[in-house]
Amino acid sequence: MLNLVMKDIIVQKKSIAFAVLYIFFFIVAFQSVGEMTFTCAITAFSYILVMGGFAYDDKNKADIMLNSLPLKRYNIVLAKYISLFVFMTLGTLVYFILELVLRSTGFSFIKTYPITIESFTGAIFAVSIMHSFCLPIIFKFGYTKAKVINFVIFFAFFFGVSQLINYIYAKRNVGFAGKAFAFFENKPDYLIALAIIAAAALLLLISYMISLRVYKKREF
Amino acid sequence: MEPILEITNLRKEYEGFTLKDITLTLQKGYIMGFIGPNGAGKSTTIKLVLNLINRDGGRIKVFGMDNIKYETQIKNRIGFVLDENFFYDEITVKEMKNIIASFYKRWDDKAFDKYMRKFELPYSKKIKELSKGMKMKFSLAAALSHNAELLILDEPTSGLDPVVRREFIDILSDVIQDENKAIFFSTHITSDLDKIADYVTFINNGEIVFSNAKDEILENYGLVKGSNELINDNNKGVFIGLREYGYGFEALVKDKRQARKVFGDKILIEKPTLEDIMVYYTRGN
Repeated sequence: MLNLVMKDIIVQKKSIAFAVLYIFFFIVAFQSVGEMTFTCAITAFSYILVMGGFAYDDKNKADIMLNSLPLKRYNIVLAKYISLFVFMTLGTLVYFILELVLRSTGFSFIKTYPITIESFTGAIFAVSIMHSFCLPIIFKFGYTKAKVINFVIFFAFFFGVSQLINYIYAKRNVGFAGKAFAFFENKPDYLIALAIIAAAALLLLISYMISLRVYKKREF
Repeated sequence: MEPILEITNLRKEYEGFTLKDITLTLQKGYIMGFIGPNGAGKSTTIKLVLNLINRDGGRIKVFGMDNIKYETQIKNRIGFVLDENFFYDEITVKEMKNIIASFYKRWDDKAFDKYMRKFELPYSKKIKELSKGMKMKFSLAAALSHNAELLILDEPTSGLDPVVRREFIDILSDVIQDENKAIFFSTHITSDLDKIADYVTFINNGEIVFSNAKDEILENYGLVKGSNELINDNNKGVFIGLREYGYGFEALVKDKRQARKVFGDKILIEKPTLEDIMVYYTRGN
């Protein structure tokens, strides 16, 4: 399975270099985002590389070759979900180093934000939720056809989630949201983080099962 | 002895085309040519064997095992060359080799290196810089470098120049010297098979027309030539396909001895090529 992830890395050597620059750009340019810079940078970094992997597969019709190799379809699907975390880890490392270097070299006009437990949990959640929607669509229709749909999801996600959060926040004292807020209010941060990560994991699991189901039916 | 490839009543339905319950068997030690015009169902059959598409009926056994249930075990023992190449254009031959090698349990780097040198392929070139012939050779090198016992080749020679095609065929005849191996070779260039095929399976319009030993086919079928007056409604039935020209007719018969009985000495009977057989069957009367 990891050899499929390696394959996505080898094929995308250049894109990875570009994506590293992208993180740098995020740190420098998104000064107003504050602590959530890391969350945004990692979400974009992972998205670029996961989609890039699909794009190369699609351009070279690699699904035909991969499915002729000694692999089961679930290997191919699962590898993409694993690659998410590999790219996220890679991005986190890059961010960590870049942020550290920028901070310690004393470019005082650039304000940098170290990784916090909130921004890290946020990143896991954002990456999971976005790919949970995108991946099944790609596995169903192939990258090219799914591109338009995913483009919509990408923007709906960025704009929609902030709207949703505002909405939920406004209703924090009533209904289900109210109960949930009350429940978490006095809980320690790590417990909240765990709850968010558990929710993300559940979402990914459901997404994986849908992806596997549709990919098994695909014909090449 | 258990067949290396056994296809039974295999069915696949598409809009406008159906693979109609085909059955064929390939034993160890032999090369089977799988011929038929474009769109006859050759690639569909091969894709079903490789589980690239889902079947609607029937069974496929490779090495005696169901091709879906034991997919990975089987594919570890299959080498494939497809009509197009689906390698990553952006990376080098060496990187592509490493990717492919990582999936096979019994990858043999020495064997691969031997073929690379034999085919004069450069490790450092990018896939997109290779010609079609070179890509095909790379694909064949990969197919031959993991101790595969069954080679499945889908139109590997289409689009190759005659020199490369001949090289390709020569390598296959080398490979089959090992009698534990078998080759299933689809093509519409039937002359590829003249030299190397032991069996020929002819598919037309989703149906198997025949699946026999090549020598037997060429021994029984006949290309009949004679003057047009010889043909009437009673004896037309013996022909698989008939062409009438101003100076006479030419026709394909399944049994040349029977044709001799019907027409006596007034006709000339020649040995057909596989191409003749394919063309006459496809075109009919």
